[in-house]
Order: sequence, then structure tokens, then C-alpha cells
Amino acid sequence: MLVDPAYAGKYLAPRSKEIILERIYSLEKNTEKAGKKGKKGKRKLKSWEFSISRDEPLVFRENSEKYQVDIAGIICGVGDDITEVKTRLRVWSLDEALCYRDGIDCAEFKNKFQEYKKRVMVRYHFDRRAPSVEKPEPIYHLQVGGQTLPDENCWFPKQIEVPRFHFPPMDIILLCELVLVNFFHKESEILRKKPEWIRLIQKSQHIFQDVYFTQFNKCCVNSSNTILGHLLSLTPPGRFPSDNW
Amino acid sequence: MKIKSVYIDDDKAERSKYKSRFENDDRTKERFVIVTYNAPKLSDDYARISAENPELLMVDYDLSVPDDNGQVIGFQGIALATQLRQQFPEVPIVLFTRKSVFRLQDYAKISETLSSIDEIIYKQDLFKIDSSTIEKLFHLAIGFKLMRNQKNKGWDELLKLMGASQSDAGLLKLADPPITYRKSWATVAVATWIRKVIFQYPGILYDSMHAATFLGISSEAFASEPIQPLFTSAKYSGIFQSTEERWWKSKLRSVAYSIMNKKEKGLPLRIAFPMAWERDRKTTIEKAKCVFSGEAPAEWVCYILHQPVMIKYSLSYKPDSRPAVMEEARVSFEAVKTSNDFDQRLVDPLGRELISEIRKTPKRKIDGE
Repeated sequence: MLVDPAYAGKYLAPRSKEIILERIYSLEKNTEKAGKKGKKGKRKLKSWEFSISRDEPLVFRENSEKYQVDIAGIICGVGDDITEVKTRLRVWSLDEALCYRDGIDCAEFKNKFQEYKKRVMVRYHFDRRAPSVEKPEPIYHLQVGGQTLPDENCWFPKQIEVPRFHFPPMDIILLCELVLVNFFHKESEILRKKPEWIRLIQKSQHIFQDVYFTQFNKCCVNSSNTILGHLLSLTPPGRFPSDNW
Repeated sequence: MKIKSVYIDDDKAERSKYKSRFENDDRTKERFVIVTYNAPKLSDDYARISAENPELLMVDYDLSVPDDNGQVIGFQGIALATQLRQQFPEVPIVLFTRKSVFRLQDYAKISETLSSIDEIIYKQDLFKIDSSTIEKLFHLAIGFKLMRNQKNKGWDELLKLMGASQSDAGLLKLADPPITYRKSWATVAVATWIRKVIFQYPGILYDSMHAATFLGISSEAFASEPIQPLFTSAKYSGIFQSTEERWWKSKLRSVAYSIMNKKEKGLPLRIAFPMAWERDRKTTIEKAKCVFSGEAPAEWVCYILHQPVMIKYSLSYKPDSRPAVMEEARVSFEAVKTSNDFDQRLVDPLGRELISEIRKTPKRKIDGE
């Protein structure tokens, strides 16, 4: 719906509409292949991937408070199982007064701001713990900060990689809703009332969050461990294998 | 102002009949001068029509009657209209025909062939007592005349002819006008754009139902005596205006704001205007009620039922290729449930998934029912 001409110009920055369309096309091709029948007539469960590159993220328009948000990420799966979720949301400020603090930030930074005209104020990572990770991470978690890129003009010390908040899985669609609610609240009121929009969000909720919250509830009533304890101990081979909870 | 009109028909009796009617009807005799012609066959015939300097061309559809020499033109009024368009690129062409011989639905799949026709008027409708067709015909001819007579035919001149404000100019520019920067307009293309895009789709101009819903009130309340004078200045009075009135959305908003206090100005217009009106006039006003739920004020107008509807009880509909700046067409759940005109192929895939659920949903109880 965001690529509908009625909304694309309102919320998305130029080129972002094309990015979504390209990625949807790529996903469709990918899932077509995955759906083909194998030799024994059974549908092969093939892996698929949907990604929006960090180098070319989905960029929203600058809002009335001079914030600009972008989203990138990769979501992989096998059949109906989600195997990887790594999404990132960055909040840029285009407001000079907010980006450069006189007397605190150095002159070099001011020059940099003059060049880029914006600065990342905060970035969030909504990730699913990778199987190889040994650090204490809830199966689905939120991390603030992360690795800084040169054009972001921000500083999130690499040493501070924690905390990881347990957080429900967020795909690109759910992140779009989050952006509209928080950064285009009034402007998006009509869009967010539309049954088609609600259905779109519900579909993502169903795919990404239904099982999470069902299992989360089970954790709440399971007296053998804390919620965080459960979420930390979960090994993620598939989508949400209930045996592991 | 009289419009020099050429009426082309192969039937002598018809030519005589309608010339007489135009000359005797009080609504037309001071507005039109009718000259009649048989269907032209030779270049001399076209030259004679040209010499009339017509300001309106009315062409019969069925041109199969042989002339005094036994000759038949060999094609229908639509083909003749194309020929005439080449010769008179700035004159409106009206297909003037009978319902029994010309059926618009036969052209549904070849509508491009009608591109030289600016209007279709049925002979039996024109002189009906309560018909607004004469007004429509007159304003069509006047609109073309004003555009034709314009010395400079640029964007700014067009905005003046339409009576558009600066803020509307920006929106109009987004509505894909067939006019390029620093170039003169092509009269027919711009006239078609105004009449078939700007008038037809809500977004920049509103008909009375859209205007009423935009203000949060019922169409009856909007048409009522105390409300109408308030919005006179918002009424469209530019070229091609006709009996079906329209209002500038931007002007409706500014007039509505003029009676609001500070607190009301911070609310959505459809809530604030009725509130301001009731406070100011110490009287209640009927709100725009959703055709499906009865809730008020509804935010949209159902494309099929042409009644107010809450967005949450409507689906996006794609019946046409309107410019993105126009408001999207939406159909109410009520239309989905009850109307034979609803075509589910025009709903996007997400909406289509909801149709069976909507059909099972009972109609919400309307207050007072």
C-alpha cells in the first residue's frame, strides 16, 4: 500500500518506492522457485530471502519535526519458517540546532554536518539471535546503537553492545507502521484506519508475532524460569519450536 | 451572448424540427443561433460549414439516409466528428443523437474512438422541462469560446479562466495537466482535462456530496438555506461551470475556518465545522452519517452509493485511472454487500481478501432505526 501513488509521495522519499517494488519482485521470483514440485511430487521447502540493503535503505520523507527515518534489513526463511530477522531503523535529524551543539561539538563535526546536512541521532536493531552467537541474547531482541557508518556522523561506542531488550519480531511492514505512528502520526491517521492497511499489518503480525506472543505467554506462566531466562535459553533452529520454550 | 451552432443531420425533418425548437424554446432562443447542414460529402460541403465560423458543432450519429442525389456519407457521426475535429480543433463537437440508435456501452471497449466527441446529448433529453442539458451545452460552448479567444494560452491564463487560487494551482499542476511550461495549450486537450479529470474526480473540486462530507455535515444540511450563503465564495465559477455545482476544497476549508475558534481549529475539519456552526448559530446541524454504520461524521464518500462512509467501513476501489493527487475511490461495505454495481475485480488483493468477511458482517445499527 505504501507504494500506491496516493501514499508513496506522501511518506516515502524519492526512489524508495522503486526499492520496494524491486525487492517485492525479487521475493516473488524467489518464492516461485521455492514452490516448485520436486521429483516425488512434494513441494520442496526452499529457502527464501527478502532484503533491503543497508546501502540503499527504504527512506521516509522528512517529517514536520525535521526527522527522517530509514529502514533496512534482511529476513530469511525456509518454507513458512523464519530463520533470520535483522532489521534496522535509523532516525536522522535534519535540524542543525539538534545535530550540532555549539560549544560542545567540535568544528570538524560542524564541517561534516555542512557536507551531509543530517546526522543519525539514534538507531535500532531488531534482530533474531543467530545460531552461532554465544553472547546472552533473547531469541528476538532490540539493540540500540550498533556499528556506526561514516556518513551517519554519530557515535555509538562499539564497546557498549548491550543491553539487548527482548522484543517481538519486527519485519519491514511492522516497522513501517511503527514509523507512521511515531513520525507521521496525524498525517497517516486516515491510512491507518483503512481495512486494507489493518489487514496488511495483521498478516505480518500473524507471520512474525503470533507464535512469539503465544509462547511468550507460556513463559509468563512457566515457573521454572524468568521470561528473560526462557528467552535467553531458547535455541533457534526453526521458527519458534515450542519444545524449546 | 449567442453561440453560432452548426447542426449536421442527414434527416431533413430532424434538421427542421430541432432548428425550430432551438429558435422557439425560451431557454435556447437567446443563446444559440442554429444553422443546419446535411452530412458533408465533398470538400465544398466542409468549406461551407467552415465559412459559418461555428462555435459549436452538433452531429447526428446515424448518417445512413441518402441525400437528394441518392448519395450516402458512408460513415457514422463519430467518424465525421474526427474529420471535423481536424478542421475545427478549437470548437466543441457534440454527438446529438437518439438513445435508440447510439448506445454508449457498445463503445466501452473502443472508447478511444469517441475521443473527438466532447459531449453526447440525446435528442429526447435536450428540451425536457426539468433537464439541465441545455445549460450543459451552453457552458460547453462558452468554455471553448473563452479558451479560444484567449490571446496568451499559458498556465497562468488557464488558472485565471478557472478562477483557481495559488494554493489550488499547485494541486492542479499535480493533476497531470496536458500543458507544458512555456507552450500554448491545445484547447480540446485542456477542456477535456478540466471536464473529465478536474470536475470528475474529487480532490481539488468537490460536488455537493463530497463538499458536505468534507465539512462533516449531511448533503441536506449543506444544501440548506443558512449554510449555502456561507460557502458562496467557495463555489467554482470558472469555465465549463454547469448546473451541477462544484466547490473548491481549499476555499471550503478557509470559509469553514473563518467561523472556528482556536480550539476548534485544532480538530479535524469534519468534527470542527459542525461544532463551530452549532456554537455560533446555537442550533444543531445534521452530520454526515456513515451509510454502513450510522456513525458520524463519516470521512469519505462511497464511490458506488455516493453516500458518506467511515473509512474503516470501506475498501479501496480502482474504477479509473485518476491522478494520484485526487482522492482515492472507496466503496462502502454497504455497497459490497448490496450493490450489483460492485465489481470485486476493482478491489486490490488485500481488500479482496476481506470481501467474504464483509458480506457476512451484519449492518451496524443506525440510530433511530
